[in-house]
Amino acid sequence: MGCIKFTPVKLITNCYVLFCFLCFLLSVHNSKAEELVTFSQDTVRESQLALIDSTPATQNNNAVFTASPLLREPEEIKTGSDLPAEKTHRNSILGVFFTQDKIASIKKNLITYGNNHFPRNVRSFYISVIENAFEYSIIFLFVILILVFIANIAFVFLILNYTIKRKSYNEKFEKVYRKMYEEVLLSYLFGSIDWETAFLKLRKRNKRKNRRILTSVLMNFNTNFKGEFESLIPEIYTRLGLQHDSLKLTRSVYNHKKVAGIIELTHLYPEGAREIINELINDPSDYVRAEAQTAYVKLNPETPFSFFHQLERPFAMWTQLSVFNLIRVHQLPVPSFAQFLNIRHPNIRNFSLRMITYFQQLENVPDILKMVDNKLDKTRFLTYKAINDLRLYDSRDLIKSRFKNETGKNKLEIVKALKNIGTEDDFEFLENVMISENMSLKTEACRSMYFMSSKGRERLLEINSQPSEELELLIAHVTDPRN
Amino acid sequence: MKRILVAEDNRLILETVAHSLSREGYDIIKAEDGKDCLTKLENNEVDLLITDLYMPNLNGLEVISKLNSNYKSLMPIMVLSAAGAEENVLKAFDMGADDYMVKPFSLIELNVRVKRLLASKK
Repeated sequence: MGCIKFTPVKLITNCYVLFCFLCFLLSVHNSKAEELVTFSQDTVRESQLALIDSTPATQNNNAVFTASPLLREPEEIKTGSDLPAEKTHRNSILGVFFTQDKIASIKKNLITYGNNHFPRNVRSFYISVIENAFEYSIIFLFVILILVFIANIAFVFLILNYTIKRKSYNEKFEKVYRKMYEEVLLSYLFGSIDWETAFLKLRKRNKRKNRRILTSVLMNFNTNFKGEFESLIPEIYTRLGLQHDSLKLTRSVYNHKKVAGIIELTHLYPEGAREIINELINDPSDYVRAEAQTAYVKLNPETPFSFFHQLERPFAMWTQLSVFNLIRVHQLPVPSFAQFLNIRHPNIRNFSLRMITYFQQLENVPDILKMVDNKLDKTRFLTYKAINDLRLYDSRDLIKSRFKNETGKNKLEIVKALKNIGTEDDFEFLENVMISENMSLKTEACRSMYFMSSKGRERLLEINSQPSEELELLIAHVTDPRN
Repeated sequence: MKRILVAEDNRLILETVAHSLSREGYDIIKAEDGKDCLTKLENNEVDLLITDLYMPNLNGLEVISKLNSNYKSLMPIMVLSAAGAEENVLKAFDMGADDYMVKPFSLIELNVRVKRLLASKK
């Protein structure tokens, strides 16, 4: 397959060729227009002379001129060209935007202003500038526009070219040094060379870029290997003094650098990380805060959530997921989450409710039940969900009492909970829901009664024997295996 | 000398594993992606395949699926991956893998597992 390659130089050359072609076209057009004007003026003059010749001597010449508009035109053109202040500007840039009268008045005002305010020696220069400014042709505007366009393209291509070259240079640089550092460190880790030799072989280790590469290699080792390397890698990191660079990054104004610094310190210099993490868990940036909070959980496996008490900003959903994943993967000891249910941040309370449910912390039941009085709909929803998932049978009356004043979503959760924790005593409540509430609640109430027990199914059949078309449809819906 | 093919796109892991296993007396062949791994498998007689799960061109599972059953019964396969989720592990075993190691891993443990795998397929 043939492929056309456009280099920046070729493209700029093409643009210039196009520009020259346009200029040529415009100049041809302009000269033709001038020729036409000269030709028409000559024709008028000739016809004027012919008329004068053919007119009888008795006739008045002035009468002929007034009668024919054609003959008046050359006179006007002549007068106009003789007086600079009354020049027409049909081809000028201003002529495109303003009427001829307006241009003439602006020009006149400017000249008058110059005559009144400027010293004599400056005045002539000022007037010549004004004259020239009003005479710039429309072609000049096109030329300027095309030049600006070409300059823009050239500038963009130069920047692109520079960026690509710089990027490929950086990549090459990193590849070469990364390979070198990996080989030296591997030799040291496998005992082929001692530390002094390795230290000498880690060339240009004092340069900022090289130190970043070194840190990246050590991070790669740390994230992929454990066992014998677990203690050696942080040791190399501190021996090379790379922790100072990471600490510096955590003080950067850029959030991505702060995050990088936190990650490096957490993996390779935990004691240093512990010192700075406490400040960063309340950082204004969501990303930095999330990373610092996750790092806190990693660095304090015994009390992973003690930072909740110091938290002044929200505990983001992403952090909640990361922390939950950390607990599961690293099997960190799980604290009793009931202690965090009284914290003022609603997202910590909600997270704690989810964790209580997930880890089946049944010792926290009284604290969970208190949350049904919470002001937030979401918190109450999670409480009803916890009651359902933890099968808190004794709280049936409590949740039924809250049903009337609940939101639609929470009402649905209460009815769902009764499917698992309800008894015959709740049939009446569910029947009322089937009669009075909306369709989704009716369906859910019917489902709860049907799946609660065999007695529930019998009760539904009883109700069904009474003539109610709607109930028949509901039962058909919940008993359909597709739903 | 037993020959082991290590397929891994992370150069550092590839070199470290190769270095560690060669010190144990194995002959190591390195492959940096799935396609390269298959080519080297065709051209060499290999006693054990250690492959990463996520690699360019062909991933570890695709490499395993492309090997015929005869090859699989003769050569043990070990998967090395950062994806430690149960579904990944089960999928790898289902495709014919004999062992699964989750990153980060210990080189000592890797050597022990390699020794056991090679002994089991003698």
